[in-house]
Amino acid sequence: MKRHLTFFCVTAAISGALACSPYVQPSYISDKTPYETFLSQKSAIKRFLNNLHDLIPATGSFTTGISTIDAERKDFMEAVKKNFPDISEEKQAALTSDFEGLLAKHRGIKNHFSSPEKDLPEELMEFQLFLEGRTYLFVNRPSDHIPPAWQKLLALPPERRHYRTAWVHFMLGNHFKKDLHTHYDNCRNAVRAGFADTAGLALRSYTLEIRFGTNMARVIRRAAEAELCGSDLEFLGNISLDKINKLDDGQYFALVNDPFCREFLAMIDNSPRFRMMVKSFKLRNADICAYYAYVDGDITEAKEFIAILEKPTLLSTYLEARIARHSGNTPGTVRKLKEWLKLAEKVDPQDRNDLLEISENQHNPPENFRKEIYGLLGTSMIMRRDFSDAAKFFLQAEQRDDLFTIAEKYLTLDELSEMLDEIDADISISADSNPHPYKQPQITRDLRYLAARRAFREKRFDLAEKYMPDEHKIFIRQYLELLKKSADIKLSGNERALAMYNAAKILRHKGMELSGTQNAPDYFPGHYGEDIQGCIDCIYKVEFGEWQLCQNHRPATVPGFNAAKNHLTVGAHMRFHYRYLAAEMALAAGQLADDEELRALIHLFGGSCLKLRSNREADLFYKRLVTMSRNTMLGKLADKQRWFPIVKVLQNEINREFPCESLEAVHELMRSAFPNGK
Amino acid sequence: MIKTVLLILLLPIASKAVDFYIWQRQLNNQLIRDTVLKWQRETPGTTYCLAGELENDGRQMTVSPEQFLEPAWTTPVIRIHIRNMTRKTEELAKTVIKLHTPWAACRSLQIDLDCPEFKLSYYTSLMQQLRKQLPDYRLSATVLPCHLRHHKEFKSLADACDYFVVQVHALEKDGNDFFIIDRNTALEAIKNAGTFDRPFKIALPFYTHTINGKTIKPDLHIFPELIRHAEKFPKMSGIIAFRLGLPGERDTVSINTVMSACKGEYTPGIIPDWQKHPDGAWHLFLKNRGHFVEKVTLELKWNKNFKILDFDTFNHAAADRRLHTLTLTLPPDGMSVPYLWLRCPNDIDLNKYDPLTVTIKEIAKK
Repeated sequence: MKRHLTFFCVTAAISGALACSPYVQPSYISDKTPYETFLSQKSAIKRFLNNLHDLIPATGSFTTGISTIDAERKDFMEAVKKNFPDISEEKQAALTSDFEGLLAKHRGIKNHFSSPEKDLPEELMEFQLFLEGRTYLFVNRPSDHIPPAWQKLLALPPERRHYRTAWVHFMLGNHFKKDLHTHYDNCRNAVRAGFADTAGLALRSYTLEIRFGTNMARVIRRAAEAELCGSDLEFLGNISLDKINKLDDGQYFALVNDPFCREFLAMIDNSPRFRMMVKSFKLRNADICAYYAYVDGDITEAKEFIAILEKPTLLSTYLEARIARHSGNTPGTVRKLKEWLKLAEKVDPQDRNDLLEISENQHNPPENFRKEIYGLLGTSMIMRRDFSDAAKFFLQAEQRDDLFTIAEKYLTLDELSEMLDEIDADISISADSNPHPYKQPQITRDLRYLAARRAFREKRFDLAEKYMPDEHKIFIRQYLELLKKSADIKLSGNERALAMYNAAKILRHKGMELSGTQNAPDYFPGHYGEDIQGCIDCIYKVEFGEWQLCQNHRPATVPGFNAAKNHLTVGAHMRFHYRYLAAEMALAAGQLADDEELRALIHLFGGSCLKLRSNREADLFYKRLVTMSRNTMLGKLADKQRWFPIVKVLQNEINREFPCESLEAVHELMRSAFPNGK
Repeated sequence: MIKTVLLILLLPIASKAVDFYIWQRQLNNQLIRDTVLKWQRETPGTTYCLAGELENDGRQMTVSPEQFLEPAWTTPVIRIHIRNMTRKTEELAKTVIKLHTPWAACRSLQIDLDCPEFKLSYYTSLMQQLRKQLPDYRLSATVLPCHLRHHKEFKSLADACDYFVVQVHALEKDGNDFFIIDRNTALEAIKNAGTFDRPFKIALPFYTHTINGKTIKPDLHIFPELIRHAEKFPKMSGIIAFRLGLPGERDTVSINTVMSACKGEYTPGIIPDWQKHPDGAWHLFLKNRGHFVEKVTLELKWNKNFKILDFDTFNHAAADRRLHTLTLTLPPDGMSVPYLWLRCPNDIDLNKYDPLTVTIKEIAKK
């Protein structure tokens, strides 16, 4: 027992791990806010720099450079070539060796293989002075004054300190943190003035200034400068919000007073302190403040910030639409969303910065924000009961499930057909072999197919044939011919019954392809859907062979007594509704048939449609099989077995959609099913 | 002066009160000042302030005392990271005293050394050095449950201090699961601490850690049991909560929650409140009472049926289609935040209808 239990547990765990639920697209109709909205900091920074270009001085660009170890040697070699253009290789090697000796000495490396340390020539003195100053700083840490060697270096004429001026200023910035802004500025100014920057220290100085700088106004401006230097590094995004939050109110207000910093704070700081202080100022990024206020649930404040804006932006227009919806103003929502689309058209997509991004969740990549706009437009149209427009907007939003719900439940078939005719017909021609089901053109193809199945259900076979994929059209034609034959009163009862039986078989076996509903009850294409067996409130009554349904699964339309079954009147649990229709046709065919063997076969088929789903409903066919075909071998066997017998030959017949050609074929079938009359 | 006298008069009450660690690195902050003064007015206790830190890389961090901290009711704490144990105890003691100088008026000092259990003698030696140099100061040391298992060595350490603080919390890992406090370990530690016949206090955790998007939090429901267990020992002289939570902080709880948890009256809840916006929409504000900040799925139980014309969420909350669940990040303890708006027919006043009971259904996945 224990062993079985272990096996069961392991099996259950494995099956649980392997089970995977189908993808369900977020829905505007049922979820209201199906996608998470994020403010893209990258786009916000891009717009910030574009908008405030006038407030940042042009500084030129800096290089990222090479490592400092390599740069030391490279600079020295360049200096040697520059100062001693005609130097022999031996002398060059000697100078290099001297320099290596100096490096080793100042790094504290003992027993270095190079020659003992010597002073470098006057032309290369800057390298020696730099190393001496650096060692001085390390030895006398913490030092409160500039090393004498560096003072001497900076006093040299510019051409004699070409390679180490930027280095000295950079190192001073690293050591004297109190004056780091001045030293790093000097470093960058030196590079701008033409001093060498092989190690990319000017750019590096920005990173350090942003990390360790205490004057936040300078930090923000330098970060913006650095962003404009053309490197790929992030500077503005790396400014610590913690540092800003720690400023007292006075310091913070000074920052807010600076127009450039104010715009930056608007972008990153959504604290109430900022929103309270900034209201009296003009603000170009007020739409971002409005967004933060809206997300925090402060609609009034969001409106105030939008009012500050000089001209509407994509973000502010979107927010106005959301605010209009909050006020219950659907026409206003629609107007604003359409304004957004017009505004977006005016901007070159290359230059446009969608500050907001939508995504199903934080793990999924962001999607085009236009989807959100069309989705909201679709939702607003539903509120106005304008389902045609809602369907068009959902189509543009590529909201497949929302579109299909509207197309199946709320549009009339003629409206749906009209909409499909407006869409480019070429889209139905398959171009790609593996199209994405939630992208165009596959959505339109599937919509046409949905319309075809709906037309079939509503017996509009002309429309069904028009929109049906080619591979299924033949079944519509066959089905129609068989129905026509079954209604021809000039034919015998057996011929009519056989035609109806064959039509029922097509419905039974090709019903999903021809008439399956997109939503309940069939959930085309039938791989998944609401699992009634997972519902704890629906109970299957074994004694009656039927479901006692909960409120959620009970059909909305309660059919009258003996009402014809169709996709609207069957219960929500009655998935594959066409099986019930096929069974009803079999019942009618059984009434028409004069031949007992044909009747037995038809009733066997009718029972097979239902016996696994509802044995009570299948029981009707069983009783008719026994009572109305008592003299046949099949009827006798059924009576003996007290249920539908399983005969392989007959199972093969009723389980295929191909028609049974004639009454003779039925007799032949029975003979082969019961050879020797047994 | 008057304040000091008042505080001394309140001493008998305060001795039963919960003390707090203040672990902020800058105390010149209005919010800290207001929170401490409010707490001192209501249920005064001692504040254990981070006064300095000796980092592993040799850096020193100092925190300056502020005027609002009453010296008689303040104990500075010096935190020492493990690599400082390579230094001689005399030398380390000198550095500690240097860090402690701005706090000298407090006449007390607590050492929080990251001491491995096999080097308790070093800890003892450090405390003895400090005792020599600060003879009339009230000295204390924080210790871990593992230290208490070394009876002989720990006895020397306990003797070198006026009292010790058993820190029954730490971020630890059990398999793949992190935890901050383990009930059994804490009970055993308190029992061991009681055997030394030296005064001791218990430090309880009131903070969270976020690891891979998951919030690791202590179970506040076990605290009354720990406190009852500790009170059996006559030498147990108080509880210190780690740490004082400021209004709006996301990784601690409010003072009220700490107090109620220590008294065994901890009943956390989410309190809904409907507020009608001037444009007709109803905003659902949810107030967090006693929960740590984390992402949760709330169950909304509507008592009556009414027609909802439209709804949407705020603060990145996500609602299901039938408005039976709401997934959101809870606001900081004691704060109220709007998460949902809805529109319903004008004649319905949701406050009178009182249609909502909110409970936490589950902790949401990251």
